Order: sequence, then C-alpha cells, then structure tokens
Amino acid sequence: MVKAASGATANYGLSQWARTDGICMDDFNSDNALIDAALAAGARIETGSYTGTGTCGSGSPSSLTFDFVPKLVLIMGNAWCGFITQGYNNGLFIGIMQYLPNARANVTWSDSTLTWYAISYSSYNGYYANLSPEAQLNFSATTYHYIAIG
Amino acid sequence: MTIIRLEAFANGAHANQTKAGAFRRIPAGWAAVPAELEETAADALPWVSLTVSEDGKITGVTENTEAKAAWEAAEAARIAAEEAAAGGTEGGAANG
Repeated sequence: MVKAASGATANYGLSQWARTDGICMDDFNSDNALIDAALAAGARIETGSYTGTGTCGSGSPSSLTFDFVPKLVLIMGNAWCGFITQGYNNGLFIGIMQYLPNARANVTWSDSTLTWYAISYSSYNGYYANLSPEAQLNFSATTYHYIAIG
Repeated sequence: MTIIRLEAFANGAHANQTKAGAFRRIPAGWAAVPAELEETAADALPWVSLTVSEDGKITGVTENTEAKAAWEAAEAARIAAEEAAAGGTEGGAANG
C-alpha cells in the first residue's frame, strides 16, 4: 500500500496531509477501513417500548427482541423500573429498583430475545415466589420504555 | 414498527414490542403489525383481537373490548379492596 499522507491522527491513525503531500486512494481506503472497524467495535444502543399485559410468573414470561445481544437492558415504567445485565454469575440479573429489594428475575436468552419473569428471593429460607405484574415490569396497559446497550 | 405475539395470554392481552425502524428478526409466534394498522394497535394494546392470514401475517387489528372491560372491572375491584384494607384513607399504590 502506498500512503501519501505524511501525518496521522492520534487515536485511530487516520491520514493527515501536509500541503506538500500527494493524494492517494490507498489513504482513503485505509482510513475508511479503520473507521468501519471502530464503528463496529463501538457500543450499540437500541430503544423501544412495550405495553404491559398484566401477566406474570413462569407461565407468562415477558420478552423483548433485539438486533443484537445486549450487555445491559434498562426498563422504565411509570413507577417501577429494572435492569437486566450480563455478567452476574455468567448469567443475568434483574433489579426491581422500587419497593422490592429482593426481587429477581428468572432470565433466559434465545438468540437475541430476552425472556424474563419476576420472582422474589428470601435469603432466610431460599424461597422463590412469583411476583406481581408490576414487579415483572408488565402491569396492564402501562407503557414501558427500554434501552438496550451492547 | 410494532410486533405482537399472536397467541393471547389467558386474560386476553397480547405481548407486544415497538421500536423505530424494522425488526431484523421476529420471534416465532409473533408477527409485525402492518404500518396502516399501527395506530389502531397502539391505541388498543394490549387488548387486541387479531386477524391473521394463513401464512401468519397480521391483516386486521381491533380492540378486544371484552377483555379490556374484564381487566377494568378487576382493577377497580382491586383498588377498592386496597382502599378498604387501608381504611379508605389512602389511594391505590402506583403501578407500572
């Protein structure tokens, strides 16, 4: 490859020309390849919403489908919100950040579809119980907004 | 675009998801709402009745008024019970 640009940017090494430098196709192809790789490696974000169905528990799990497998999903309702993240015991974890500090979610992934249902865990007796639609972030007719980062 | 799970839950509600732009992948058992029906779906969700073609595409969306009315009645009863339990001095808890 023949590069005519004599300088380069500090972070990605993109071509920087002096007035005496020539113009070369290879410079542009190289720069575009670097930019393409940097964009592909960057964080992806997806936003959307769903309307709660008023159902909960293992027989009525909630689900969201993404264009990629997120590392973090934030879900926000009117009064309740939660997050699901990868990396907790090589799995996922949900925190219901209002009212229920012991709320957890049973979470599964299939391709890029996230499925969950809320449960309550007691450290006293290790008992898990299905929670309400609110705790599953699925109260009837409530609009929930989500942000997925991957 | 909005996608809806074709099979309703026992309470008549349909799982759904909406985002700007198209879904690259639609889960099995779900289908996309045609653009011309999105507003109707948005107003009615989760209480919708779907018309689905043989190849699994949504061709019609209407509000499931029966399921919605059943939920509204149940919700009113729940709030009344909460208020009664609280001595009628407090409102229902915030939901959602």
